[in-house]
Amino acid sequence: MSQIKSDPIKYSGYQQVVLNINGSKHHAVVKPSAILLHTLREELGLSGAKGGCENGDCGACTVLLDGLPHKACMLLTVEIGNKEITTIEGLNDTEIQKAFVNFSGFQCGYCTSGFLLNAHALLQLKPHANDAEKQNWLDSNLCRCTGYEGIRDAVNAAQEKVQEKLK
Amino acid sequence: MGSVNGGQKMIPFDFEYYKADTVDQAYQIMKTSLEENKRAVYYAGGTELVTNFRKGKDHADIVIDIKGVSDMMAIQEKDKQIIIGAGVCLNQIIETLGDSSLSHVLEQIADHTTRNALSIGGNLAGRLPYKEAVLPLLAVDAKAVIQGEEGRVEKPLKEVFNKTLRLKSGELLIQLKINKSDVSYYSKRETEGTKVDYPILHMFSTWSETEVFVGVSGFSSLPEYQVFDISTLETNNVENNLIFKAFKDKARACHRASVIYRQHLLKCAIEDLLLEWKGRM
Repeated sequence: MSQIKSDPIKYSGYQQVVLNINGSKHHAVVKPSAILLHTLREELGLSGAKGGCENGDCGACTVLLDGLPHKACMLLTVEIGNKEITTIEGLNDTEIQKAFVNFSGFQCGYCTSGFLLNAHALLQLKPHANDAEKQNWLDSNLCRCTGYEGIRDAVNAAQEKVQEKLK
Repeated sequence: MGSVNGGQKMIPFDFEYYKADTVDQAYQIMKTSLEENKRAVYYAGGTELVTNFRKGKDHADIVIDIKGVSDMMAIQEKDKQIIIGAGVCLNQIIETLGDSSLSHVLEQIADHTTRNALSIGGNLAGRLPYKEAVLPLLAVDAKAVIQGEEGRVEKPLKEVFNKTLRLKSGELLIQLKINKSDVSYYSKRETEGTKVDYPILHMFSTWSETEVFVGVSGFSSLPEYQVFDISTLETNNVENNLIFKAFKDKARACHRASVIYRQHLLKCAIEDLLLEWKGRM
């Protein structure tokens, strides 16, 4: 392409990008067409985010960008910039993890990382979310084992713990 | 089908990616691309483009990311107007506007996580036929701010939206402007099964003392709307109602719902709407 007056950021062909993931800087060499889900899994070995429908429907690939849930199958790696990415590998020792274990919030486990990240973001941003708000957020994720009862119990239990800490 | 790497589907072509800082810069990149016979697309949330790229339903040589353009990423209040950047995601609009007809419609589109990315401009300008966000915007006579050959121009949305957003090649929707005061509204959204799905009927209506706006999405092949004189609307028999007569033959059939089922849902929604009026008048 001809020269544009003032130069915008441009990526063409393979290029190194620096991603802030779980508090650390990670370097990856990607094309502009690289999708974040694939970069995380294939380039950086962070396989916690799962490829499910890869169509934005199932939520198995959910990651947090600056604390908000996003579906990594619909994001270009080059668009992330300086945003902080949180994957399931960075979600250590949280109430939501403990609650999923204690309340059997998973069966086959494939959808679990997506549910955990979404629920974690919800409880961080809206610790007093009511049932309708929780339903609204968690409708973004599908569990093909239909283990929704355990997931709901786990989220409610984690919410109680989060609220106790706020007192 | 896209190429596969480790069982995952990749975008099966290369493109150049630009992150624009200003509207002028984004438009200039688009213009240069067009002059060089390259297909360029404006990119905000990516929810539709990335999926279509991967499925081979769309292609681009140049992707122009507008998320660095501050005018397009903010919601401002000015002179009793709310100015919404076309790149603003649906959840940000819902949280900023609170209880409003626009928020009510937006919170029914896609799912919560997707709404953290899906932009209002993308909903209007994308290829998906539903474009539900347009219904409340048309109802309140929103204005569209567009960057084109003549620079930045403001036009009534009704002038540039007829079933789809009718922009000239390369033009960029920058902002949407609506009046701050909200209106009474009615909205009925039906899907084939679960709530998070495309609509088989989304009927949205607002009314004044003299006129009624009714718009539908998911019912016909593309969104349609009509404004009716309130005094001409039969309120006892839905079959004779002008709203039903105006829309019923536009019903489409698809794997989600037949023509007859969509017409039945429309009839039920109009009955509900009439009850709503009676309750308020």
